[in-house]
Amino acid sequence: MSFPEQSIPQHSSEAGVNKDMEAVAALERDAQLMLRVREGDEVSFALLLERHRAPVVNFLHRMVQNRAVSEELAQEVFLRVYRSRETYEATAKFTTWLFRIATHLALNWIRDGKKERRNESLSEELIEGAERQVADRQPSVEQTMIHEVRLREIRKAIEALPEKQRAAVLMHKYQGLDYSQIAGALSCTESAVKSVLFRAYETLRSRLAHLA
Amino acid sequence: MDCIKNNKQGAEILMDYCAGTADPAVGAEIDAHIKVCAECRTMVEAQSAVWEMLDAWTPAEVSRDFDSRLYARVAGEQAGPAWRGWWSRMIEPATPHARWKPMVSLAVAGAIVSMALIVRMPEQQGTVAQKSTTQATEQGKSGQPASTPEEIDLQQVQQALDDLDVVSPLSQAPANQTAASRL
Repeated sequence: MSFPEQSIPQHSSEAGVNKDMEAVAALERDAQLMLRVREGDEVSFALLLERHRAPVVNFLHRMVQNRAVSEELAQEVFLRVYRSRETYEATAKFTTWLFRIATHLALNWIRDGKKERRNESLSEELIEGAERQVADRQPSVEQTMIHEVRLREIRKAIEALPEKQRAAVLMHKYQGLDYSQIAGALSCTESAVKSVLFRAYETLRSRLAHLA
Repeated sequence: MDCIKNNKQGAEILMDYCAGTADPAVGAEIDAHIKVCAECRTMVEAQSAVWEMLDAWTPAEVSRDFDSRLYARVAGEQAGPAWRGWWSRMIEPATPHARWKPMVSLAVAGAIVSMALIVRMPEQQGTVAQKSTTQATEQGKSGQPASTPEEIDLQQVQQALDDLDVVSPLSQAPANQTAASRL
């Protein structure tokens, strides 16, 4: 079996297109692509992977704060999507389903107590961050250090949140999922999501007030 | 417009406004309100500050060999015996669950159903005659059959347990979190 290695052609959005309509169209495209995967279309799976690879990896990265583990879990997410292709039905939004899988894998990994890798990953991330700073030609070492300190505080604040609050915030802030999608991913009601998010942001406001 | 903290949907309004996803009309109301309400302005500024701080956490790039490794795993599965794929789907469903949750949910649901049955059974055994008399009396009075006992909606029980788990999880937050910020 071979998968084509090609990227999705980048289309610029037309002027005046409603953002909501674009989002709905994207969700419908995902469902259509997955239905084609169900029919054995490998190109469609490659397109879905291209579209969702980075968001899933980034979400898992922020959840488990370990790059290697996040990619491993992300691979597991797409593997399960592929395994389930024959029984896929577009009853829920594809993104919701995808992040439900990702969330549960992340929560299971966290609860399995594999926290010993986190200490390694923190320094690894700081080194990567510093390298990015150099690559971006940041003007001074002092600014880089300040940036890294702030980043460390933000990451600690996120890590300190209970896992489901953390997942809800990451999906809301970084993935742009709406309340119903987050509810679907967390298997709860929208009102529960709003309550969880409000508490999480309240905690973050308190923890990060000194950085403001 | 009411103050955010007095508004029933205040939490949602605050989050949507700071995320830039609020309805334009609502956004305009908030813009006008925070000009005159210091407390709401402080809350909005704090939430906006958090929102901007979170923007600083930019992700690293995905490894270049991510796709090739994934395809290798897929190919490896397909190359294996058919039963292995079937077994994988059985023990690792597409949507994994927290391993302990179904046990707790089933145990609680089972307990509720058992209690309901236990409560109902003695009544049924000891008061069958009484119930028949009562029903006959009620039917005689209203001309309609007596209502049936309330049935337990297990789906509602499961959803309530799911919401409870999300809002007040059994798993504990890390020790350095204050009690006020715990769920």
